[in-house]
Amino acid sequence: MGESRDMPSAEILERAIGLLHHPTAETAGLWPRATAVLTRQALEVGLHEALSDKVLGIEHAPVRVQLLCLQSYLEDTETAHEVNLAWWALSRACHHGSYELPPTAPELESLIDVVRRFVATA
Amino acid sequence: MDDVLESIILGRLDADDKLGERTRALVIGACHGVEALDATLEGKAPKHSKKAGTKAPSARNPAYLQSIEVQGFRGVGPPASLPITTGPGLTLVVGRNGSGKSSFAEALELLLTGDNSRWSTRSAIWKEGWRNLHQSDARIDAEFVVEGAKGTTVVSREWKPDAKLEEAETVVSAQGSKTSDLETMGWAGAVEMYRPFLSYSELGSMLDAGPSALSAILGLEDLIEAEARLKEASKQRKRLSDDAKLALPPILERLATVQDERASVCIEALSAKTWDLDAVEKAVIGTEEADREESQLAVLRQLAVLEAPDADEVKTAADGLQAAASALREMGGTEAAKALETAELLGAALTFHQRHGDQDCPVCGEGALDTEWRTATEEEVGRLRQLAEQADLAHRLMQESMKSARAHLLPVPAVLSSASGVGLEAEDVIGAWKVWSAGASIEEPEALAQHLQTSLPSVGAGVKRLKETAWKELQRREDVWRPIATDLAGWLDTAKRARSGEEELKDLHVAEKWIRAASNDIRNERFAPIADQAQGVWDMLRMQSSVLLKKIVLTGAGSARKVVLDVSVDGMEGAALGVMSQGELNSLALSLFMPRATLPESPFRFVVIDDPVQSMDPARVDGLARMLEQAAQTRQVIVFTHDERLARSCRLLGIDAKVVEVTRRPESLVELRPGQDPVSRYCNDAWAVAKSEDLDPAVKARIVGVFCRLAMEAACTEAVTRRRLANGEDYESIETLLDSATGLAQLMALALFDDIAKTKDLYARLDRGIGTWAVSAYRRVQEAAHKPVSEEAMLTLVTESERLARGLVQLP
Repeated sequence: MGESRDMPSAEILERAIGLLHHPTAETAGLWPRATAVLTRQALEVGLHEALSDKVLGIEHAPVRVQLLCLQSYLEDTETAHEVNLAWWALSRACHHGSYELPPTAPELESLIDVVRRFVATA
Repeated sequence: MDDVLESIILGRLDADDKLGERTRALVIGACHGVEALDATLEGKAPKHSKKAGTKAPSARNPAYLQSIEVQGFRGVGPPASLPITTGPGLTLVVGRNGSGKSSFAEALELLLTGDNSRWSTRSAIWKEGWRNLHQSDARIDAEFVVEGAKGTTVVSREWKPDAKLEEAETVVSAQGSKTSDLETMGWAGAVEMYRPFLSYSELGSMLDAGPSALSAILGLEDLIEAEARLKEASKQRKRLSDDAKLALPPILERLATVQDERASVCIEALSAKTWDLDAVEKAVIGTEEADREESQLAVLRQLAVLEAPDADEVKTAADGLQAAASALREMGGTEAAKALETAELLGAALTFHQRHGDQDCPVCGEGALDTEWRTATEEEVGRLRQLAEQADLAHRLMQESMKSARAHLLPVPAVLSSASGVGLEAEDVIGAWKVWSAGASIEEPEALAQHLQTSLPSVGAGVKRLKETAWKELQRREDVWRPIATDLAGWLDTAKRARSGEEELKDLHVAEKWIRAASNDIRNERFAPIADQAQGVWDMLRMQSSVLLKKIVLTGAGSARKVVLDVSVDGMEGAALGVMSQGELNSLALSLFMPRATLPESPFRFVVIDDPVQSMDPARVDGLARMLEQAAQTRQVIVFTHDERLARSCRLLGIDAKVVEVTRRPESLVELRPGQDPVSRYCNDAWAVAKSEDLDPAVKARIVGVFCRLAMEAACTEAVTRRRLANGEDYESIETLLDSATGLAQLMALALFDDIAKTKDLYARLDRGIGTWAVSAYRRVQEAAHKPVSEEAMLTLVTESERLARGLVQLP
């Protein structure tokens, strides 16, 4: 994810939380997707952080592959599984579905929670 | 009773010439109330008490919704206002479950339903948890535009910080008039009757319980009540009859234990199929008729008053006899006749002497008829005549005395022979009496006198004894009978009332049947257009469903009425609702809901439906959209929905619908914004991010690209969906196809080539078909979705991706 690595995952996540919890008129209505986008980025950067010194060139692999690697390299398989699910859930919010609405605040909070725990250990 | 209904009833009564006068009076009485019915039953003319029309005309004035503002209620914390375009039209309120959208629907319903019992049936969790945790002030305001009223009419409900759900008043304030309440507005009843709200949970239960509510709108409650009054009157009479029947067996049982023929009479009278209440009454009262000649009681009563010949009178008679006898004896054998004839002979001689003067006696020739002779003879004639008279008197006295003495010698009274029949010993008396009456053959006066004196005492003593015994027996029987008679008298009262009630019962039944038939007819007449409309709605909603709604009928009586749906599934007649899918059932419920909620009589020009889309398949959502569009031509239709299917159907079908998007931030901050088609929505969001001055530039750089890509994805989705729908493909297969696309490239391939595999040809196609800028725009969007976008590239990115997205939507 190129330049996005410049900002550590924790910082990106902080901004995601900021979007969720500090309402502004400008972000009315768009904050659910925006929060999902940042949270997903935080997760993806977190993946690099967790894997880059373990797997050479992992940053060029698709995220799906990285998630698979995480399963094998992370001792805590529970977390790896959660992260996997969170990524899929967040990805749905980042793409247009036929009729699905973006996630709700509580959903986002629980996704953020998963990512927070992940990047804290990464 | 409703004037219109009354005139219909009177008209039907007039037209029915088979109906008796009595039944007719009962029907009218029942229509006018309990008192009127009672008066009719008592044979009085019912008073025609008509209530003056109390309905405020404003109750019928159409009202449109203008906004719902909610604060501190359910999912809504800080105040949030849902604006609704006034007048007919369709509004979709779209938001995820938990976004607070349903709170607006519930708020409006609560507001208009007031303290209705409807809320009491809610779960404790609902009732306890209605307050929003993030906002202690709770209030709801709904603004209406009521025809004929100036400005807006606001209905509000505000709770004090610790107040419970029901502890608040709903206040109505309209411009230029005093604050009032829903009751005064005439809305309280209207809400019950037309219920312009339908929630998803109700949708499910509507077919179980709801349809009976449909009958309320038919306005036949007055008739139902009249029918109930007749039924109640019948019931009371039936109860009386039952009471009498129920109370009888123990009475009969008691009667059977009594050895009294009144008891037997009663048993006989009460064992017949139709009770002989008159006979029982006579037995109870003890009238003369009850004492038949041969009855034991009659015998006892006669014995009790039986008299022996009066001792004093008998003594007088005996004395008379004695006196007459001694008088005769004193006459010493004087023959009255001879004395009289001698007197007459001498009298003739005196007459001869008077005529012919003194001379010798012509009879004996020895004596002489002279003055001396004359004096002596005249004296002798006087003496002889007196003697004859005395003798005659004594004889007649004797005759009289004998007669009066014999008069006491009556034969044995017949009743004595019946004494043994009532268990009394009378042989002694009968014997004594027989001896007594045998005296009639005694000729000798002194012997008769003797008989009288000696035979009477035993008769008198015997009769006296018998009388006492008979009297005691009578008393004994009375003592046993009296308590039973008292009970019988009580029962008799019930039985008599039951009997007269039974006669009324027949008329009451006829009247009740008549009214039921009448209300059935009227109901069906009134229900027909509603049923037709429901069928119309169903036909729009059913789409490919194999369920055919053949007929909607209102059946049952009184409060047990319900709507019966005659459905056939796959051509199978009389199919049960059980074979229908949840989506079909919901559609059916909607079909029943819509006609009621949109009746012309309802003051509410709005209809609020909460989440009808759940468990509907996509095709049915199209039907729903069309149905709503139709309803929205004359009504304000507000639909709350948890996803974009309905909005999408409206968009693709070209149905004009105002969309409001609802999102809920943490702390229950609910945001509402106008909805847009997805491409415009994402483009506008991308612009909002790009132009934002509040957002952290790093955040802007990281999120703007995703919104641009979303716009492109939405554009491709829209283009593919439209094209394929037009080709007759269904939503489901289109969705499956779109879902199989793993990224923007494949979506673009679908949009541009209708072939998901042709991703390699995209650049060429974009370059050739749209322009070189399109290629770079596409590449920029793809990159921006994964990499932060620099500040200077941002505006170009958004401009170009919007241009490309708009272009893609237009693709044929």
